[in-house]
Amino acid sequence: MASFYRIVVAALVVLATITPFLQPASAQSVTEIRAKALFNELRCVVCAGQSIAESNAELAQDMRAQVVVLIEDNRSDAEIRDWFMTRYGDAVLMNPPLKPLTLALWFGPVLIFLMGAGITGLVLLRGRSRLGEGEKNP
Amino acid sequence: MSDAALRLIIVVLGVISIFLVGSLLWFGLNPQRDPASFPTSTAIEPDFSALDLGTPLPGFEGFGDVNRVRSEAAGPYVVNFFASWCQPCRLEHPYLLEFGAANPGTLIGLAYRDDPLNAAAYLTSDGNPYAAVVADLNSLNALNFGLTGVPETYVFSADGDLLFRSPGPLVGALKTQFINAWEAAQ
Repeated sequence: MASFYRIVVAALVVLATITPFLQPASAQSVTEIRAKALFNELRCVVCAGQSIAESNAELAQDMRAQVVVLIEDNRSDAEIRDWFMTRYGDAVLMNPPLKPLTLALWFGPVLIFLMGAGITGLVLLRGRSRLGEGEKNP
Repeated sequence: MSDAALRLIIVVLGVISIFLVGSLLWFGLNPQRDPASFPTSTAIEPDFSALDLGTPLPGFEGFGDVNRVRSEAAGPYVVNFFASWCQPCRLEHPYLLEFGAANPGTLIGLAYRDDPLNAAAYLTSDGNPYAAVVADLNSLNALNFGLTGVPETYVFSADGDLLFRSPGPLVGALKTQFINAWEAAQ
């Protein structure tokens, strides 16, 4: 009897371990996988900072449907992004494209950090050189 | 490096960074700016290819040929997205009626996410300002025009260049801007 319980417990432990790794019965189609990736890249234009994957706004539903239509029309991911960009502008992409107009957007934070680091460094340098002077002339 | 030179560099860098961060805050904390609003520029390229795919409204079949209005418009023309369920649309409706009567053959209406029956009932009870009006059942035209909500109004030149767009009802400041854009386009 004891060995029976042992087998049951072992079976339960194995089941609990592998359950999170089990795939749902229906495998995802290529269209579904591509559509999901694109949903995360396109901005919902009526929501604040959400992609169309996250929003259930009517316009987001329309955009998702159109992404699927375009995939089924054999358009590449880049072509689909372009399709939305010509109609909505760069802002429709969650990651704005890198071009002269968006340089400040991409590198502004780095620039501000470098200036801060530069000022801090110079202040420290100045403090050290003053300390040196202080040793010479007490 | 001499102490005076270091000090000068620190002061100059400090002033520049205060100015940079200050202008960022000036822009970002402006109470007039709504961070949730999507930029509606006229730099987009609307696609007219699906205009003839609209569904005519029951009782308004004679108004179903949107492309004819586009091709027959001698000057600029206007595309207006609306819906019978849209409350702000009712705010601009009296002005649309006025505009449609004053500028016959220039105003195109597209019903967004609306049952053609409901859109037709709305135009029957409140009046039809449009020279041509269809329902955009699959929302393809909405996406083709970069729509961000209803109502939204687009002013096109005779050549199809987007001159102005109003991302809201034509009342108050947007109405004034619309009238100015329309008059400038003549």
